Amino acid sequence: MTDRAARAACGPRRPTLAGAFCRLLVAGLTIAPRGVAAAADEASIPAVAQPCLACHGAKPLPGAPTIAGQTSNFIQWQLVFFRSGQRKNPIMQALAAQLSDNDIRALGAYFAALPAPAPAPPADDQPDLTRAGEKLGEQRHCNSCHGETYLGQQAAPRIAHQPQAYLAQALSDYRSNARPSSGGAAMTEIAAGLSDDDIKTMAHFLAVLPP
Amino acid sequence: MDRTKGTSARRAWRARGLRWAVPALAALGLAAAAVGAPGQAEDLKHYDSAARNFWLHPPPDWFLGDETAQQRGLAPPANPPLPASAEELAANLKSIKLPPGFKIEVYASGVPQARQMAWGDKGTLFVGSFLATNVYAIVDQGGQKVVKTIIKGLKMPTGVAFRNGALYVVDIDRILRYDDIENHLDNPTEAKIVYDDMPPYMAHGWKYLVFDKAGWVYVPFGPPFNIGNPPSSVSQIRRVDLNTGAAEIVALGVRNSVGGDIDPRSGQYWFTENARDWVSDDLPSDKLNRISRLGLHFGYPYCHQGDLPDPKFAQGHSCAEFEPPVLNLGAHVAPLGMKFYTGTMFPAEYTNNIFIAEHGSWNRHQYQGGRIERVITDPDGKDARMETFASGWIKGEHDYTGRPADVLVAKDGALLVADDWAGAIYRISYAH
Repeated sequence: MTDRAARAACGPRRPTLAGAFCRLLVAGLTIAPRGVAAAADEASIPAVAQPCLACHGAKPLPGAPTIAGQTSNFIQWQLVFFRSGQRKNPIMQALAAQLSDNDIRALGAYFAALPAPAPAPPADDQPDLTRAGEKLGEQRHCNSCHGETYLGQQAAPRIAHQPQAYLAQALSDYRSNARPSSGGAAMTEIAAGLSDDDIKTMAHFLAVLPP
Repeated sequence: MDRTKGTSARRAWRARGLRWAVPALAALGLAAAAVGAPGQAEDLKHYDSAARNFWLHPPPDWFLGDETAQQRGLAPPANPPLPASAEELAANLKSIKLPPGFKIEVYASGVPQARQMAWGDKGTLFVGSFLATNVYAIVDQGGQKVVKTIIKGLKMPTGVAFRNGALYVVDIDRILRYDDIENHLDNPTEAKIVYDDMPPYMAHGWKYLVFDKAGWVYVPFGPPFNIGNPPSSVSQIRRVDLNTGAAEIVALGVRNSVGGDIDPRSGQYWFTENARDWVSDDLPSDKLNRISRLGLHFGYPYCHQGDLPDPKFAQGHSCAEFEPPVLNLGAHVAPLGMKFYTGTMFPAEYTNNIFIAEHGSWNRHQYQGGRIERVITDPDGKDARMETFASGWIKGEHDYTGRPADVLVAKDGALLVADDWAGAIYRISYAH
């Protein structure tokens, strides 16, 4: 299974550094959960969820959001998008390709039931940017779906206190239509009008929000 | 992509299938929108619908731009990502209330975002979908209902109809025909575009198809926003003769209509209509309308529910100028598919009653709708009254276990219900 996942995610075996890294990462995912959410007892983690924790643990790897305490609906949507290939990411597509509908339901329920991580937010070294982000969020009606405090509801994820780089990437991907949106393409529509500065501002504001 | 060139953008839009939503929509929308003409109230929205961009990029504020402080934070809920499991459906249906003698069961599950239904001559049930981009065929194989996805990758193929062996699908800006479909379920014939004089935007661009006996197909055209002065190609219902391509406007002043049927008694077209949002939880009411003669104006955007001038867009008009509804159905109940009951299974008093699938609210603090209503009415619309037929899909204040999107009478007289939230078709039957 590891080999299959690695091939699916990384393509045919080629002697490139990127390929080697990719295979190593996927192999790691299916063997040894690392960085497991601090509170979770490893034995209690359902088998289907174990590969997720390598990247989405308490300290997510670069590019990965935290998913503990995320809404079930959002998690399920993303897995459905990865499984169908509508959302692109070699590792996630390879992992999602093996999931049944019931696996996806179970993953949504499992991660939604975990407590959201509550580390101290990064220091706000740009309070002006934070205020600008708050205003931008109001103007764009972000909290109509993501909630007044951006903790998420239904298909709209908790975006408060996600890693800044992930948030910026997500907005940029929605803007370029590289990432599909649930909810009648709400995110594609909203992000379409954002400038690079807007994205930086919004990502900063959301990242430094207290948990 | 050059978004200012209509044809190339339109082609690209088609090519992209699901990825329909529009980069730079907001920016272009702003450029195309919004300067009040002399003599207009300052807060009166104004769209430059003469510009080509308007057609390709509906204004960015059509959904949430009219939000009021009172209604703040309301937004359309996204569907569950997967159709409900058999266990979930069994649990959900336990909560459904019906009149005595009726029962509801699952007809088919695993039908993501099921919308309009249509019967083929050989008993195939065709089902359109919303953002799932699919058309399904449900067939009976040894007593088991098997769901086949027969067409994939359309934009938003909500409306389907069947006539003379062919399946018709309306996909936002074109009507497609698949010939001899029931003999080609596993490999449909190539689609023929039979009508495409339709604006391509998605907002309120999802549609419903109803053939009358003479072969006209009725098609609704919704405005690409909540409220505003609509472009001249929308806020109307047309009927199209798909053999000749002839089309005519049969109703004006219509907001978002996604349901209708021909009265078997008179041959007239009746339709449901979703009223504007962001006035209040209880205003205005959604409507049931009847086209008694060609060219009637049903009020949008000037007047709602027959007696409520729009606070911004009445623009000097009075409600007396417009055709009133047969019946006000309630605020934000979202009536979609409807059918006259032509079966014989239900008690005789149900004959020629109208069943309406209510999709339910999003623009209301406490959801309502999300049920099947029964309307008892004369052919002329006099003395129409309504009672709830099937309810129980609303969970708590604002959540659903299901959202009825269409109804269809089966050959045996049972009533099928398409649910685009749970991704399922139900069957409601009656026994003494």
